[in-house]
Amino acid sequence: MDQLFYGLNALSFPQIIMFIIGGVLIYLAIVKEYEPMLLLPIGFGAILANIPFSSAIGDEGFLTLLFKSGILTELFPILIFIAVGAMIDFTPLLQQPFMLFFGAAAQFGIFFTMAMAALFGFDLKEAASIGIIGAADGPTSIYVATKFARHLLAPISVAAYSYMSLVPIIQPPVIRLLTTPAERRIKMKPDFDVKISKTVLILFPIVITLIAGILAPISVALVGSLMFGNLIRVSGVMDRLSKAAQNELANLVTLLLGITIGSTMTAEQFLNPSTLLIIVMGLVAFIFDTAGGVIFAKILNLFLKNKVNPMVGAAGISAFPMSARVIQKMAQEEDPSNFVLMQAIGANVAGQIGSIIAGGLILTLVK
Amino acid sequence: MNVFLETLKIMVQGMAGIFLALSLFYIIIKFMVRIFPEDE
Repeated sequence: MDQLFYGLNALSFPQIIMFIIGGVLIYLAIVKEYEPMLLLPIGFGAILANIPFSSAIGDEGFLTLLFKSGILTELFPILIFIAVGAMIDFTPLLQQPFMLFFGAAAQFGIFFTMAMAALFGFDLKEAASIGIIGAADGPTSIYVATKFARHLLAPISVAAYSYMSLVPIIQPPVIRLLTTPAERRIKMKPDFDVKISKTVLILFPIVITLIAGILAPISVALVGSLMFGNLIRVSGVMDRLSKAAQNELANLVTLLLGITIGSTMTAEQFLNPSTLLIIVMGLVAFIFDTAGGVIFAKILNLFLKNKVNPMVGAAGISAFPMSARVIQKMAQEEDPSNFVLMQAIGANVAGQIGSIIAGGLILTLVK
Repeated sequence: MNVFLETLKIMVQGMAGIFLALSLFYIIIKFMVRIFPEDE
């Protein structure tokens, strides 16, 4: 009889808490539709990992095998980047390259949060891994955390993906706080008469990889895989592979990535004060990313003849396309005739490049 | 405190690096769009 109940007898209170946390993540994914493709597998992975004597983890567990082969080798984030690259259309950015600067400014939250994490007692590599939540880019966060602070991978991943889905709730109050209604009503001159040739579309991923790689060789894996995916897309001769990268590859790796990350959420690793601190600092990172983009746009407006709607600066974070949609919605709330979606999408795409460059720079600068 | 000061140094270097890299991308995009126009 004891053998039937040995699992029940071994069940601890922290494990029950982890079941509840897993359940909350599944609830958020299904009912609130917050990043369901990631939060659901993460939530279920957390449940699997916390069942006493779980055969899913441990030396022969399939989740441990996936963790060793997909996360520790950094293979999953790299494969996700190939898929993301195949999904991105850089045309809005190439038509208005000025938006690149918002993609740079809106990475400020990464470094601000890194400094805050250091103040709270985390060491430099841990602080860098926490700060990178502000990249608003799951694979970059996982990639950096795997290199610098594997023991913090679970809370960092959960924070990164949770806040990405909460962008529509996080950004508007920050933007309203930093802008006046008159600024939010600024109409931007459309700049979409520039036609982008196929040659430029093809050269762009190759040239960017070369430059980023030469400036920060450690970023080659990140930038190179993203740009490889994009090259497949724009080449025009690999449609089948482009679609496979956008669909089959993206879906399969996302599925495995989520449940594998969830499996690292064991009670002893996850239930500690630093997890709570990381979750709070992830929010700080998103807030200061948004503030960085908006304030930079306001500073630019001091010098520009054709003013920029400062809300577009906030779209410089990498959460694509949610952030651009949020900015357009806010612009239309102030003035129903205002249309800044394409500018915001340009800034949002720039944010994707900016976040990867930020990840590469952090890997280069943090020793 | 040393770690905090180090993060401030990385903040300055990191933001400068991002702006430098993306400025370079800006110049390259402008250049490529000019030398490879759509009606080539």
